[in-house]
Amino acid sequence: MNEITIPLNTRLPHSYPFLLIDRVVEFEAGKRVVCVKNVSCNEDVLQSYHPENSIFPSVYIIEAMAQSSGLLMAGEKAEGGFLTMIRDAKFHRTVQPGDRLMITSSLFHKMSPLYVFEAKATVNDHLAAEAEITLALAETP
Amino acid sequence: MQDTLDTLRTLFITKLKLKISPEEIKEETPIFGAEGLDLDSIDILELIVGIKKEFGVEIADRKIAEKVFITIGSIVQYIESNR
Repeated sequence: MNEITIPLNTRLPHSYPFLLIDRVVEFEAGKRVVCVKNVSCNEDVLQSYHPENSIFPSVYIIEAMAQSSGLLMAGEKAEGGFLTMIRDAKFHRTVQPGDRLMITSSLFHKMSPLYVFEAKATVNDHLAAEAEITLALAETP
Repeated sequence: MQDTLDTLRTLFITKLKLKISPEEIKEETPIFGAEGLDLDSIDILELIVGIKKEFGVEIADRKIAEKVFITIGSIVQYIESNR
């Protein structure tokens, strides 16, 4: 796998503890991105979300999909992108500490300022979640 | 033409969760305004994505969308001439 380095902090406005991407492994500008999120038992959220049986929250998977999708909007003249719509979200299995979440997002339709992405998250090549994610560009004042 | 209209009616009701029957969506029904379906820009984007998936017809930019999303009939006409 050709892993590439993209400085996430210059492309996304998010930071610890809410930057939910560890690495970008494939990137085709404006078309498709594949990112990795390594889920650790040290995640802040796992201390309070089902602490007796650690499960990475599904909404965090959606957020990781949105952040991955946001990378494809980087370069647009804007103040960032905001999650506008989530459709057809399905969670096929739980994600737990030790899992390596691979998030793939592809741009399906663009009508600026709205961008529609088809996203999926897999663990060991098994589908964990999928959703249609819509982001809106925040216009530069 | 009728097939396209019927599919579009289903698309409107399922995608936008409209609380009306398919028969209430007529060719002359306006897309915007209280006298019509009163849709907003997010609704239109959902329909554009639905039309692309269902009919393989792309509405690529805002100017085209403004011409297409006037009435149900104008959408049917666009789909019929671009599929």
